[in-house]
Amino acid sequence: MHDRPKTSETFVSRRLFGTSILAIALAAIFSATFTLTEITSALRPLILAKAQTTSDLLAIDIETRLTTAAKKTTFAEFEPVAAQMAADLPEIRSLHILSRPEDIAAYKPAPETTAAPAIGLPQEIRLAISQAWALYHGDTAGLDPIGAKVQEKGQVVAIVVAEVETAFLWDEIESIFFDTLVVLLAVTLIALELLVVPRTQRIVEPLLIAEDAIRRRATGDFSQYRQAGRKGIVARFMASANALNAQLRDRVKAALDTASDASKPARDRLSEFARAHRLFNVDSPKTLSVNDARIPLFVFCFAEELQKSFMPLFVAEYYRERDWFDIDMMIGLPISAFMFVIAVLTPFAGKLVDRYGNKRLFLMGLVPAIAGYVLCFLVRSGNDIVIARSLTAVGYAVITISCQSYIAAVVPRENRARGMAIFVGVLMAATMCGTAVGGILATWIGFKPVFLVAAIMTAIAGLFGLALLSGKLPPEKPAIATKGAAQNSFRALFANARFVMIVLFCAIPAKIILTGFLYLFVPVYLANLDVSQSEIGRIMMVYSLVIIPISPIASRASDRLGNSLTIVIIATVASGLILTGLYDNPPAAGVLLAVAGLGLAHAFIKAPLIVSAMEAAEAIPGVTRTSVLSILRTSERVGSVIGPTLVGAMLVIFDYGETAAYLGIGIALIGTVFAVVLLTRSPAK
Amino acid sequence: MGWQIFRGLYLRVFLSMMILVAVVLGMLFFLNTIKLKALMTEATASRLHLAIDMIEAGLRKDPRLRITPHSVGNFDALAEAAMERFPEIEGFFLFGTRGPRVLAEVGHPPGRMHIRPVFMRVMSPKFARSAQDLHGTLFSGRRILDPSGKVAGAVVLHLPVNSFGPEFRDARSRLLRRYVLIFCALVVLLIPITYFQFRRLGRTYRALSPGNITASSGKRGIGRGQDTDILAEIAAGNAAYGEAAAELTDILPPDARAKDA
Repeated sequence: MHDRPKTSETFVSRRLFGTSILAIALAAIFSATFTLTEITSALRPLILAKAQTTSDLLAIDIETRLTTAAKKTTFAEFEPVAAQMAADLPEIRSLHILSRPEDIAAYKPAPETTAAPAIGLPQEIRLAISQAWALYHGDTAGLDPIGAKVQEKGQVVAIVVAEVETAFLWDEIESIFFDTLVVLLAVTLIALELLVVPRTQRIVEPLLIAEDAIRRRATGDFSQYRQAGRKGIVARFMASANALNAQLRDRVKAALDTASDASKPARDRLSEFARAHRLFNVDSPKTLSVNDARIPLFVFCFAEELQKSFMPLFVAEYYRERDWFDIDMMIGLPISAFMFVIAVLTPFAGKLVDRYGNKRLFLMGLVPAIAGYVLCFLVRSGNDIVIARSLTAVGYAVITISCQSYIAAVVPRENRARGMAIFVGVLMAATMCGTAVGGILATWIGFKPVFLVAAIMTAIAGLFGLALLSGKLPPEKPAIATKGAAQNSFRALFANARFVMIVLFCAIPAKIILTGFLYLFVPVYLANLDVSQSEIGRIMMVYSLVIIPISPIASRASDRLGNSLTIVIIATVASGLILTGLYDNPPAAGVLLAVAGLGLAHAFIKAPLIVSAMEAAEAIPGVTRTSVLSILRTSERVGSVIGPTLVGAMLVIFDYGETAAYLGIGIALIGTVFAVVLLTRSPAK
Repeated sequence: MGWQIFRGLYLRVFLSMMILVAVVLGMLFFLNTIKLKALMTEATASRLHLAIDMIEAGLRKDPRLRITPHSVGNFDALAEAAMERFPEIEGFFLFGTRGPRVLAEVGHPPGRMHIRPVFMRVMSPKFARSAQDLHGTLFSGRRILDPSGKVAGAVVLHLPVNSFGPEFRDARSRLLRRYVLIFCALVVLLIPITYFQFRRLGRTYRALSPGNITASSGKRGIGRGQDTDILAEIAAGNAAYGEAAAELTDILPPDARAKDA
């Protein structure tokens, strides 16, 4: 009986998640199939129209030459022109001229496509299924060759025939398919974050309240239990239980009131009875939840990540010669400025939360964030972008800090690690979805409108924050570390050689690679390879896609091996060596492999790095875990600031392949030096 | 009770599923509509680039070609010929390499506020051909190279987006009809799935009948389809309550007991 609440919660959560995933999967399969068929049928006439226009243009050109040329012109003279035109147009496989009378006589024009008539529901269903079936079987019906007649003195003397490249349509379908997959993945994650988690909470919560009350009632606790809503079975059940408990309480109260002259022992017995059965205890009406901050945080971070896959390209498009630096430096500057502002603001976070409270701080953070996005929409130069992104960084720092501290405040101290895991999980999910969706949106609607989308989503996050975040958090427990203690921790940690080496040789290099390589190098290099914005987003998304499932496995492996530092060093060296693979300027597939490899290496750095830092700090008396984490995170941000600037500066001197390779060699060397130093230092030291 | 359980549990779960499916399909429809429009814009722009080909071919034939305000001689004639061939095109304009200044324009003049973003996009080395939808006008252009392969300028055409609007609206409404179909199919499919998935919870809800909470441990028949574990716990609570009530009666002072009675 003891574990019943947990069992019910697990039961409902599993069923609800299972059913939700099934519903989303079915919606996804149907949607992807019908979208592909619809887009294919919408594109077909446009491709055919282009083929028709191409053959018409060539036919007109030939007719003009036939009528104006001084000497006799042969159709063979036009074959190279036709071949060149076909080579320039990806939609056209071939363009040839039929001039022999028997060929002209045998030529049958493609049937004209007519607008689809209005149809009823059964025909609509049949049509949808048949189109999906045709798509599945690679049917290219309706892409017949298109011809244009060449006339001389009213007689048809030749026909220009354009054959449509069916592979072009399939390439388009393949690209749409991958976009659809990414959108589905993102939409699923968004739906889970925004709907399933809170809905589960709403369905499970009344049940948990009732089960808790039933369990307490069986042990003789007759408090006024927390109400489970105002309507419904559970609410009425709770009202009945509370009414009965109130009867007992009122009897005791009346007895205590009327028995003022009674003997003291009788009053004591009544008081003891009331205390034993908790008759005058009233449960607090609503408990605060991690989900209060989870939804606004997710929406905001999703909005923020939309720009990640194209920021350097956005700067390149708006770069002007009078901007502060050379273009190669400028493209990384907004990322560095963003990270720098966060690094500067983070140490003041605690004070800001204390002064304004989490909810107000969250709402205040929206102002610079939205202002930054609107400014990005209006920018006219690279400098403007740097200023706009710095403004957004102020909002980002304030909002994430307020949400993190909200989560820390609402979860019990013993569950704080779980709370922080939820915080990190939300950030990772938002990063993954935002990066990919941002890339797709940039392809479809352009760079600038994406910032308007981000501004609107940030405003929505604000509405969520306004509705969900509580302004009254439980009172803060007395701070364990005072300001002086914090400064002492800082000094003590940086006097510890092992901790310093972990920060310098592992934490900072990992962030340099993350911001310099992934956020700057990858989009710029891929754009240079003519990779579409959607694909850039998809490739960058792979980093999070690898890290999310591998991180827990890596943590367990690290725990089992019992030597986190070795794992961190090997992963740091590996992350550097992966980049050296880009020396030969590989195609997009090579970058995809490098990003996936980097995700794998960083999955083995993430948790083991924290463990190593904690282990290093264990030897220092009076340093708390919180201060180790806080100082580690702040130090890491140095790497985040250096990364884009360093890679930008390297791109001024080296080509893409060399930049990646030299950065990789540098990181691998740093890791190796750390390993050598560790091996040569005696354990006593 | 049955209706209350349906409303309190099944309807709630079912509605949350429906909201989830509706939101997922809504987001997918929204994104796919944008995608559809982008693809149709691109396909239309791609066809109309044949007009720019015509102009470029004409400009290249001029051996004195250097795109400056004084040397755009045959651009007007070429653009007019192209507009005759492609009547949906509203106008053409020509950029040089020195900033967003229009060197020559034919047809309907473009909105002044669009000149700069169009110039930025068409001159960006990232795009071989550009296509932008700015406030209902599609701008599509390409850089023109001089005989030595250097960028000499750019030709941009523009047309109202609603020139291919009917096709887009048709495709969008067909897509919408199919999404509504998907939604209806999922509703039909999810009703039995939800019922079977949450049957056990239905028994728990049945056990939470307010009538099961009493002030004594009197024997009660176990109702059909009720969760026996929960019922046992409720019975234990009833028993504890009965004992407490009896204990209270015992410890009440006599005058209070009389009043209580």
